[in-house]
Amino acid sequence: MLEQYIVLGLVQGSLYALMALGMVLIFKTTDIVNFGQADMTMFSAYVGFTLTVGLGWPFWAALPVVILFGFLLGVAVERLALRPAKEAPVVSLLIVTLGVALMLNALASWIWGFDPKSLPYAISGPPLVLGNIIITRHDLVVFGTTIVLSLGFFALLKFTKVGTAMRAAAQNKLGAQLLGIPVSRIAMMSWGLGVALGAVAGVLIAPLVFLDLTVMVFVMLKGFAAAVLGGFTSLPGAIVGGLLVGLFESLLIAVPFELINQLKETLVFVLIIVLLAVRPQGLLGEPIHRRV
Amino acid sequence: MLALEDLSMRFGGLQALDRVSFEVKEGEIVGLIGPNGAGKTTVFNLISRFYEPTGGRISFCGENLLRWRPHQVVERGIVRTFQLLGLFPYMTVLENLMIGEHRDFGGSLLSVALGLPRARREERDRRAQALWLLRFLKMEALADAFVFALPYGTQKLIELMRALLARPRLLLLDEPVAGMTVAEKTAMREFIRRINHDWGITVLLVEHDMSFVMGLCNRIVVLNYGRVIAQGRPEEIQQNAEVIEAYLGEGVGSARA
Amino acid sequence: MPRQIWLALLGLLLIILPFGLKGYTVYILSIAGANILAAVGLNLLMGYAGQVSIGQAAFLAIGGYTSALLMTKLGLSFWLAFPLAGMLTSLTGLILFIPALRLGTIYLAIATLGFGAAVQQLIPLPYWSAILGGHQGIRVPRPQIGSFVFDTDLELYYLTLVIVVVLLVLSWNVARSYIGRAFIALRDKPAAAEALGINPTRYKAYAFLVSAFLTGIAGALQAHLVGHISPGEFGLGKSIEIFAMVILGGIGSLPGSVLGAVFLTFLPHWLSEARLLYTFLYGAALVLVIIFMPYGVWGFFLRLYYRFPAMQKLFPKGA
Ligand SMILES: Nc1ncnc2c1ncn2[C@@H]1O[C@H](COP(=O)(O)OP(=O)(O)OP(=O)(O)O)[C@@H](O)[C@H]1O
Ligand SMILES: [Mg+2]
Repeated sequence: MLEQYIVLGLVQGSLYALMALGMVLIFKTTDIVNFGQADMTMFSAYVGFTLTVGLGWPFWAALPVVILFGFLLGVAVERLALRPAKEAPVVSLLIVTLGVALMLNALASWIWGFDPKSLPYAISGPPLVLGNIIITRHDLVVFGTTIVLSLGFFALLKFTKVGTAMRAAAQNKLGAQLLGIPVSRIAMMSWGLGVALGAVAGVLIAPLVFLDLTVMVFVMLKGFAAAVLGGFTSLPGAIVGGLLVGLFESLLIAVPFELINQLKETLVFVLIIVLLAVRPQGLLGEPIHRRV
Repeated sequence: MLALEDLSMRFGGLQALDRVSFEVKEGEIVGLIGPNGAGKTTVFNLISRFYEPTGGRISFCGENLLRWRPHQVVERGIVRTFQLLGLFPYMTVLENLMIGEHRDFGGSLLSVALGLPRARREERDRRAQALWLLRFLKMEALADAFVFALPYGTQKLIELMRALLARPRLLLLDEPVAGMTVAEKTAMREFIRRINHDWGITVLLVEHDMSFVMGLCNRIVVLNYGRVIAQGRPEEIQQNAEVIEAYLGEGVGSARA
Repeated sequence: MPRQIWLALLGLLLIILPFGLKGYTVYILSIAGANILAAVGLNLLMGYAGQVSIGQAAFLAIGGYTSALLMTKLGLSFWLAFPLAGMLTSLTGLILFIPALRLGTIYLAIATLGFGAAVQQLIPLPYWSAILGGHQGIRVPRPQIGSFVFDTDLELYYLTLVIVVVLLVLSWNVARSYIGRAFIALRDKPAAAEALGINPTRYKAYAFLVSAFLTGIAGALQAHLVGHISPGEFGLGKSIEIFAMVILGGIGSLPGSVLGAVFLTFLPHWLSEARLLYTFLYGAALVLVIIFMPYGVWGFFLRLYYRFPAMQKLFPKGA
């Protein structure tokens, strides 16, 4: 039984990891925590719904379009809402992301209404049985996609020019600017990629839950928790954090006490706060020497 | 009074300070000099307890300084200024000065909220004290000006005044005359001398302007690449071959305008 | 003294204000009063001390339930239960968040976020539904002094006015004191602040204490005004609403928070015909305000003030 919960936890956790990765990327290059990630993900998932259920596209044809949509959405948010507000203090920029979230939420309820929607699995077919573990094909896709995407993403950061520029901008904005790196274009790219990662998570989660206007909020909160757990500025940390949060949550379900099951959201946060009290920089974040 | 023994500091792969030892005696004005990046500000940051040293000891008046947290250092009588201005730009000059008096405030949160007489009196007295210092330097006209609107030299002076209001025994000044005009520098030199002589405050200062340092300090410590390469009286330092060598790359004397 | 005259005029206006208005509008004005306290509470924490809390709704809930339960279950009088609600809220907040205060801003943000989610999840659980009333919530008694019960909109308005004015004066005193200066110092240059002897943990804790107190009181006030309290009112949306009041009014400005709170309390009622449109416009307004008035509505006024000397004559400095 335990193995089963571990597998489920890792699957769930890889979704949190994608969410966390998107948020950390945006934070690293722009110093903004994207509180609109939930609604951007929700909206992208609805686009996936229209493509697959509405237009009858197969999942694999819809996926790239959803990713592209997420990317363009992120770029648009950066260009149209955040860049014009550059003058405002960072806390106010958080509110800009919330404002965008509210707008997307209203638009989504306009277009798709309030009834929950269900999305098809990426692959249908009977679940696989490995020893005493049962795993659906969709779960395998979720896990596989996360691995492929994170590897691809790290390759992008390591081996491409854009990636190098992004890493430079994340390290030291002023320095990067002096070196002629177009910091504002980098911010745009990060937003595009960050929201696209959320979009992928969105279409993968949607078949597992009923898609409505608010489900993604909880996914985002756990993604956020995962990011903090991983150190908030560490991309590998985001992934490790996501998997751990998923695992922990799944093990809480395994505990045969009803109260604990009911409180799993709460307990995830409690765990993170305790961990942070012990290790303030998160699991993989570097100890910080503030500059004076 | 202040003693650094084998003090080392590492940032990742960079050895910013390597077994630095020197002493500051009560009543002295000591200059800490060295090329850009030599580790001078890092020494100050270690004394302020912003960084945990990777090795060595710091003691102040016989006590182990490393036991304290940054906000406790000031209670022992060590007050500093910052290389890149530690003033609060969106406060007025007077409010900035009154932050210097922070440790003389003791009203409880409740008495402050209720506006009890004791809290009001305290606020009034501290304000009067800060205004007195402003008047002493003939700057009372600036009391209600916002700091960000003032010229750099004036800001440097206000930061020094704020430090004085914190009642230092040892004053750490990081580049006190950077960006000042010649006249301002002369005035500042006289002021620091006065602080030292009349008010009995010991001074440790970092400065790139060599004529300023040579004309003011009793003793000089030279850092290069995180090591102490020389220390002694100004005349000795000016003759020291290694010091001249260290500065040659940057043009002797006027390392940075 | 012109400043006193302006304040007196404002006070007079607030006293006669309800007479021209419908009962319902007067009631919404009182609700705005509760929101003012919540917004000022968050602003002291965020605008002054630079600490972000995204779980303020949880403090509203604690304040509201505490005041109600102290009255109904323990039989305390309103005058005891009401301030105790504020104190217990700030005590809870302090105990829970001291570890987070020692860490950075993001950590407090997530801790409060988690706390907000937790409180909303805990209240409706079946184990204590006999006391907390589950999802339906509980009835909250009306405020009462001796045998006088405040139960009309007008009476509640004047009660609210007194409470809000008193607490605003206290908040203003704190903001203008050495403690308020220490908050700003820690926000703007934490290193310089510490080097001058300001103990960061202590002053962040003060900010948190004051903020949680005001928010707890706001929650209690709201509960007594509405006459009912249930967990559904205290979701993430409510926390965001308070956040938005502070930002719209201008971070770091107490008068701004007052304006922001009043404005955002009335906005949904003006737009109540079109709910979707409202959500959309609300979002758009947040974005636009920050783009065009980065320091909030109050900051915008101030800028006008400095730009146009006529305004300076009309409202002398320090007013
Ligand atoms: N917080 C930090 N993290 C990493 N490296 C640091 C940090 N602070 C200082 N350094 C490095 O340590 C070295 C010494 O820096 P420091 O600021 O002490 O020099 P300095 O002598 O004050 O120079 P300057 O004359 O330019 O002020 C530099 O190479 C600097 O980049
Ligand atoms: Mg320096």
